[in-house]
Amino acid sequence: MRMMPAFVRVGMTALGAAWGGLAGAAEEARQGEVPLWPEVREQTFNAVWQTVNDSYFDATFGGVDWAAVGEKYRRHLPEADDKEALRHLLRAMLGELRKTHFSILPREMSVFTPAERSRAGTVGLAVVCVGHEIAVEDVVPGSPAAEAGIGPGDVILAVDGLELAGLRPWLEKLDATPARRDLYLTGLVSSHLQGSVGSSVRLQLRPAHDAERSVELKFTDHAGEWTEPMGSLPSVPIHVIGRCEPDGLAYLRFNVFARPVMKDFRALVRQVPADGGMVIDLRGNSGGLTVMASGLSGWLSDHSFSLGAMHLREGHMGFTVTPQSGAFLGPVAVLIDSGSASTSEILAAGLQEAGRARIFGETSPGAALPSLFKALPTGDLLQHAIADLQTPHGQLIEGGGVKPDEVVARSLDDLAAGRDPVLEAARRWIESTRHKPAVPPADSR
Amino acid sequence: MKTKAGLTSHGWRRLAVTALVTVILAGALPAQQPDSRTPEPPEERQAREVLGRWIEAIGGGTQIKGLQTAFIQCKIDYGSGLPAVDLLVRGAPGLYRMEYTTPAFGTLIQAFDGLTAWQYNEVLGFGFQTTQEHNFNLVMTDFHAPLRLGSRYPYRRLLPKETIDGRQLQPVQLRTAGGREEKWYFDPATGYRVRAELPGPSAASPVVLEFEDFRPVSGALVKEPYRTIRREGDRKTTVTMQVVLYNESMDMGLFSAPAGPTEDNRQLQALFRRNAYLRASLDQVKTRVTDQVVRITTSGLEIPTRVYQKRPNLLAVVQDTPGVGKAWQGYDGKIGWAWNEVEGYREMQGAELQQMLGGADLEGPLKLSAACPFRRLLEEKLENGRTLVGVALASMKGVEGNFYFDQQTAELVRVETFVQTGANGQLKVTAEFSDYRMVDGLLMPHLVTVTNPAMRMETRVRSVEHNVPIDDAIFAPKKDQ
Repeated sequence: MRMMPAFVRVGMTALGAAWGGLAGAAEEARQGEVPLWPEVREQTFNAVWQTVNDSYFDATFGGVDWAAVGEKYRRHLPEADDKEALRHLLRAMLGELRKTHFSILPREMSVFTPAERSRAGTVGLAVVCVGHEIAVEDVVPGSPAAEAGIGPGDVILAVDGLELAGLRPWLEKLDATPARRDLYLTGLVSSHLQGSVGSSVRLQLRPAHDAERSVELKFTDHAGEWTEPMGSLPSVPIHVIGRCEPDGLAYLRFNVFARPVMKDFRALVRQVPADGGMVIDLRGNSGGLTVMASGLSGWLSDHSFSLGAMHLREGHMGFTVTPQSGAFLGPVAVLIDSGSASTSEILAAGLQEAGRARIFGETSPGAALPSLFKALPTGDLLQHAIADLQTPHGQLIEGGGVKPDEVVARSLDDLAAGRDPVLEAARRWIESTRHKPAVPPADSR
Repeated sequence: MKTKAGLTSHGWRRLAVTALVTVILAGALPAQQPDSRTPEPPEERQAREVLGRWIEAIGGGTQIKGLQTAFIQCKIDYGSGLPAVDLLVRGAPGLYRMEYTTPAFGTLIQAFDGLTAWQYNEVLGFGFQTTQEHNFNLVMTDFHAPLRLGSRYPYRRLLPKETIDGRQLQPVQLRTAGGREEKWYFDPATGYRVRAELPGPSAASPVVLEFEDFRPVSGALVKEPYRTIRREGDRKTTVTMQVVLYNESMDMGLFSAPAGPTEDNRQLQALFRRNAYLRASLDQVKTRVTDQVVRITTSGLEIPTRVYQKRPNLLAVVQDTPGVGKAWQGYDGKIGWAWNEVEGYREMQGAELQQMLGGADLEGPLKLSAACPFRRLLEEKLENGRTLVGVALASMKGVEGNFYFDQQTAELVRVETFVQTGANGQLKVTAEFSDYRMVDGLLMPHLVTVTNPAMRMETRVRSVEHNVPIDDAIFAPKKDQ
């Protein structure tokens, strides 16, 4: 019998709540004077290097000589005259690991209180990568984007003067999958589409049925629900669409795995008839609380199974699904694309391998390292991966991504016409399946 | 600790012992003389005659009395692909040494030199046996037990003959003074005991033993069954004697406990005993409510936590984690459970449940010594002006961890171990205990710092209240929130 006191165990629950989300790049931050800058700079550099050194999940650092990397970048430390220069230096150092979920987030762009939400205003449009181009997926009615006449299917050519086509050659050189490159590009544009309320962003657009044009959009307040900050993990807006249609099809789409989503999901499970079907749309969902993957899955099963395990440097933690009373046992389709990262990939891969869901869409980016956030002496935040993730069949999601059972992609014309062939494919499959007995997971009993 | 085939180290040893005891005791039953002052019922007399014939068949009381040393080598095969255990037994009157060996686990030695009942495994280390283990081993290796049959089975009765597997056998019912009943079957032709039915772990699954292949033993005029098959439900275990030698010369030094580890253990026992003064204060504690804050320093997260404990081992832990919400864990005396807003409800099993029960027990710290009989003294450490005594503790279940105590105060300072995380997880952690304060006569750490491969956590105890009335409902599983 283990004699470790309760408080040792208690803290472990928090580790299980590691963040599996991609923070995404933030826009240029205003630079501020920091007292005793050389000291703060030195402490920040040390904190970043040491944290990674202590917690990186692979003791061999994947062949990277982390000590040598530290020395290499330390030599350039005196050149970092301000926070932004230091961020560039630290990001470059973290980039040597060639893994996702290592980033430096400017404190100025992070939201921890309702008052700070004005730092992350919106122009009211969501983007998606279609055929390696960044296109408008959705426009919020009445938003600055809607008022500017922007519509789904419009292609974004440049943002704040940064021509996206010019980034492609640089992205091609990265040791990354096409889906990962699409994710970088989508994340970059998305970060520019968020800014201080009152400031603006300039977009160069190629509308679906019109000539190229340039528009300037002012950021407005992000109405709606936000996640609760979790220690050093900032708050982000939540978008949830949950509906149960008259034909018994439940549809859930959300942008982040956060606690409030569970409430909507449970409500949906209660609404959907036993002979209905369910679509979980994870397109554009960059992740969130990792434990939510098993939490959601518990409402989709009448038996326990594994979604995979995160492997730390010394130890591991499994994502074990525990069936919940009143779970929905009918057919489940999961939609993914190059924007479905991290916890989205854990959920999709786990349900796919367990035979509990059929996956539709495009290959995910393979960016699924559970991570934590740490406040640095500069006030910025370090996101650092603490574990690698393996599916129950032993596949590493990082780098490889989740491959759909049915590959279906949207075109620019689909977006412009309001068609969603991915959702339609999922609907067809559900309709063909829902009146048959659910297939039990292949190897998880 | 698990063997490669998934059988716990504790498990294979227990099975090995159970199988062996049936073999050795097979030759350990005396032909007791009846008490001439009371008339002997006919069925008891008939039973005594059957038992007496058996004793004669395997060599006779005189030969058994003449056994002075024993050397037995056997193999225990569990079937089902589990690794076989090699067992070597050396015995002399009042002394024993048994060596259990599997390829995955190495060798476990249990021995008694007349003074110290000790045990050793190269992974687990050195330790003392529990009284229960030692008594069991003594009985198992008591080659003169046949002379004490009367005290072991005061009640014996002949039963009507039965036909089993085509053979007509003579059963005898035996009962110990404690009420344990056994049924032995004898071959009328040879007099050998060929079958025994013993109580199993449950009434539904009795243990059946079959004794075969009787052969004379070198060095003594006795016979032993060289093969014993043990059946319990679907499980079948075969014990095959490979070498049996009685009355060979024997190195008595093999029974002796190694001097260094024995002395180390005595010092550690003394260290543990210094905490015994807690006993009286702890006896007064019926419930405990602890308010604490878990601060994950590496993530800037603060988790207010309240822990409810009630004798004997009821537990409820309530947490409110920013971003995750409310979380409960508990044990109501039957079910270990956990619930949180994100993951829902689940029941704990296996190692995770055991860990929770360990934490739930108000007397846990006092039970540490008994729960971990294997101890290996580590190098002393000088830290912040104090000397730390380190000891690697282990039980039959495996390595528990490295525990460091302040040599002067006997306070637990640090634990290096693995903890269960969730239903399927294990992490290496180091826990530092400090800021000891006296609460109702109990010295309790008020700051615990835990580091694991991913983060650092501090638990600061805000308050401890004893003997607060706690409604048992708080420990009940919370499935619907």
